[in-house]
Amino acid sequence: MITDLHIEKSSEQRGIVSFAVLIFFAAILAVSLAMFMTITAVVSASQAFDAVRFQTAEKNGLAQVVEQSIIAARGTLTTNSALSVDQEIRNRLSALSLTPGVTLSLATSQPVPTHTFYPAGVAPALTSFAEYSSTDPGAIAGKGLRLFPLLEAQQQAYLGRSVFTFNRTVSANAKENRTYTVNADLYSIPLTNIPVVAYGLPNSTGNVPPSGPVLPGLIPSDARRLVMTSNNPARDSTAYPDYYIATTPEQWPAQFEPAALWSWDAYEYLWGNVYQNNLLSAAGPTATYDFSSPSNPIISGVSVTAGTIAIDLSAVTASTLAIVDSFGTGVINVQGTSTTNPAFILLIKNSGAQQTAVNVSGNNQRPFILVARNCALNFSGNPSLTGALLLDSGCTATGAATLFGHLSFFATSSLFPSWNLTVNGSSGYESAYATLAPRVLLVGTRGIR
Amino acid sequence: MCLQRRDGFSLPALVMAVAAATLIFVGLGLLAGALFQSEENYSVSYNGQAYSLAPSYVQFQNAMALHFAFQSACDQADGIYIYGGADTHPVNDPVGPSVVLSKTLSILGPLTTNGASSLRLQSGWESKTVYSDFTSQFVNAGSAADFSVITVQGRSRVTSVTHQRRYSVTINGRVLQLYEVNYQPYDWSSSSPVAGSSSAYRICYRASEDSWSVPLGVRHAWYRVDPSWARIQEGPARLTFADPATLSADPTAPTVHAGSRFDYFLAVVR
Repeated sequence: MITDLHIEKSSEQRGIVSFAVLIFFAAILAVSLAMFMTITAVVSASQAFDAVRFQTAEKNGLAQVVEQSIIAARGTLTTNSALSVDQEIRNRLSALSLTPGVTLSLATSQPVPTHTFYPAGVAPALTSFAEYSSTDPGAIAGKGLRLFPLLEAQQQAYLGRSVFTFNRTVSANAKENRTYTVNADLYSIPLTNIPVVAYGLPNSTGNVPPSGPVLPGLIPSDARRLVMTSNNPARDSTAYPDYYIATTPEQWPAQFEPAALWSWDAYEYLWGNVYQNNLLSAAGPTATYDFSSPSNPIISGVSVTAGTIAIDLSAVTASTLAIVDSFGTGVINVQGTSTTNPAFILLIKNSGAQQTAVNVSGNNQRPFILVARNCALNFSGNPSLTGALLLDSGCTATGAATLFGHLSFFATSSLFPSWNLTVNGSSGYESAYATLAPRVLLVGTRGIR
Repeated sequence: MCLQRRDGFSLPALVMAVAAATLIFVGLGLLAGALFQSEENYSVSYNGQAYSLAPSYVQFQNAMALHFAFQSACDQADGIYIYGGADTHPVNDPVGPSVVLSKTLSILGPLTTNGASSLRLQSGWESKTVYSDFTSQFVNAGSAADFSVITVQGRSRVTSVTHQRRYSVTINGRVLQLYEVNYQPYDWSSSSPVAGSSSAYRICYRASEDSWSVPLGVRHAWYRVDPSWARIQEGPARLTFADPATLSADPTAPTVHAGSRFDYFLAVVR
């Protein structure tokens, strides 16, 4: 009864109290809602940002997959994959660990051109590409600074662009499905484009340069040179221990791959049987002199005197002249010339225990590429030579000379300074013999999301 | 019996009640907005610029816009050169804070590469001398959190310039850490650069609120330094930008500390 009376007396007050309570909860609700919406906005924006970063990393990973696959199938390697580029890509995709529910698949692809060069085939023509171009896909800018120093050195051959597309599907959220595109640009580049290369042979000899090797004299003093050394700080003190893993020695981050393709893998190929035999085949029986053979053909530019052959560089007419010295008993005298006949390759192949003696004299302006295996070179009279010297790990050298062109040497051999060589790396000399020079395939890829 | 005497709202009263309720809700909405607005407006002025106290959702929005653009610029770059922070050179400048580019730097044309090849562009350290245009643009860093980032396509086209600066100030007796991040893109569709729309955010933290496990600023990493073969090769650098809405620590996981979501691991050479 008392309660009823109270209700009767305070119905208006009760309404005001109820209204105040309503306002109070409404205020809490409004503030909570505002907080919720703000936090939701931050979380959503953060998730979107993370998704973009994730997908950027994903498409860049795909670009690397394409690059690796093309190199495996087409690169200048001792052995190329027998699989197609597409299959190489699929194999790599299947090995990736992706977020559960995410799948990546190769959707479309374009053919990847084969990479041929002398003597296996006609090398693609060399041209100079603009650094920047909005219309020329061969323009160097945009390919990444990993490739830039190797592409900009001299002329190169642009083999074209192959485009790959990939489907990304997310089972839990179709909105995150995407199509990635990867553009792959292929370049064929003469190894002789860089004046001095100190190479390593990690596969065939287990050796990479243990440290920055001693250099020949250089003109200009900062002429380009390439060396890719050990990442083991115990061998190369300039390497940092953070990046060395004892269980996977001599494995560098991807940043170093183009340099390794050039100064490791291409030289494995150069001194391997395929390229060497191709050179012998190119020389053929009419341009091959074999010290161990009882009878040899008459070769233009080559004269024989009692176990010693003389090579007159002015008179050589073959594109490839091969001298085979299976037992290391031969002596070869190379005489330079002031004539500027077309370039040729001089292969001196010695697979014996002893070195072949090679004496070089006389200034030479005829461009040639000397591919020397297991030779003891001596330069007399301080000649000036135009050409490229590709020396294997068994070569030594003495004397003095100035080379206008290119030098490759096995970095662990100690050629300098006992060999008083100066390499003039100014551009222009290499163009005369670049069409005959061995090439390296470099691939620039760029992913688009 | 007493309850029967209760009257319901009459129609005019109901209309008035609804109108009053609407006014009150609108008022509450405005009040809530004003509360947040006042929080956004809780800012300090320094060098003529307003710095909002973190967490600041307006500045977070600005930061998102900036970092979407910055990430895209990094993704499209051939090279990324980062100045400032620690270990800009493992021998010559291991501790830092190293010099940064002036905020007044403006890209007016292709960079002069000083005749050097891009072989010498494998590190921010060497790029300081290769890019002679920058020689007069370097200034001492005010703090370890300061850095400048340029993204480059090819050798000479700068596509963006980004700065972070920290200022430690005391305002009205309160010690504050002010952070300013600026991003300026450049468009090279024509032969000369055209400055695009810039982005920026400015926030302040109370003293020590910016002390995280991963400190704001830059730490460089190196593969090797070998002057004789010009192998001055820098590894990736870790950049941590100020975050207007800092990620919280996880109290249940002691190893999960507060930090910035704008954390990058950028390779110098791409």
